[in-house]
Amino acid sequence: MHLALSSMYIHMYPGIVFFSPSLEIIKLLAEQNDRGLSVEEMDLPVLSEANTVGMRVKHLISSGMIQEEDSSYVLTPKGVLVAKSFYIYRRMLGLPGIGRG
Amino acid sequence: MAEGNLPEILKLTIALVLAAPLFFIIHMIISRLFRFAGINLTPFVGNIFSIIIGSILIIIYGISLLGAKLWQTPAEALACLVFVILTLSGFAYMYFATFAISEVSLHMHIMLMILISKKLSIDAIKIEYNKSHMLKERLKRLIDLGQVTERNNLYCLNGRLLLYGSRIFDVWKMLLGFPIKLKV
Repeated sequence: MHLALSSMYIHMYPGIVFFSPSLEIIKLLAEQNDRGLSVEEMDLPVLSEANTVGMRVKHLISSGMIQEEDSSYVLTPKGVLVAKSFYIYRRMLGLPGIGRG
Repeated sequence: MAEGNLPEILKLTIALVLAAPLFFIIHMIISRLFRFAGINLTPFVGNIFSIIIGSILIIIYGISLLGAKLWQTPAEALACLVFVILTLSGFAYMYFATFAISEVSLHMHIMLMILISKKLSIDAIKIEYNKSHMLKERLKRLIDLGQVTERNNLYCLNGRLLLYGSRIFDVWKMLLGFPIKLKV
């Protein structure tokens, strides 16, 4: 039980530290009551370039998953191991190797 | 009950530890069955189905193991039930979150993009992550999950499940001293 609940807490933690774009959309729509919003009207800071690509790439570099090489990014051996594990997991489920992001 | 049923309790504990691999096996079977039947199953729906079916199987196994002995003393039966539900919930969330990482995590998506193309420039990543594409992708997913509806290009909240979930995260953020609104 300790293992299960500890794993649950660890998996939930990124939800606390980061802002989920899907949950931000839900909150924004909840604020509108039943009026509804078009895609053009949805102004979400969480989807800005700095908060998506910029922040994620920085995290991946600082955690040793990717590294810069000739102004491009490549996976480190640790990154290859993690990415391949998820790729194989998805293929075993019969899904495309890469999720919708 | 505890002293007289140690082998049964040990078997139940092993079954609980194996919950996550069981969810994975059921998830594989469900995905293939639906694909074979030509039904387009939303990845998250398959994930949730596998967790529900796996949990039911483990609970049935637990009841069949302990049987009538489970109901001899209500206090022990309740303790056993709480133990099973808490442990199962932990592993169920762990499996759900692992699948969510593979499906929606931006970190994982960038890593898988680099894995497939070996090398990727920041501009190539930015093209994939333009605001409109990300927004539409998420709205489609929320519609599939029944949380959002679309009428005449206007999107409205449909279900409240994720909204309540986001409130729990907001309270948690406040308790840990994190901001609940993103600074622009």
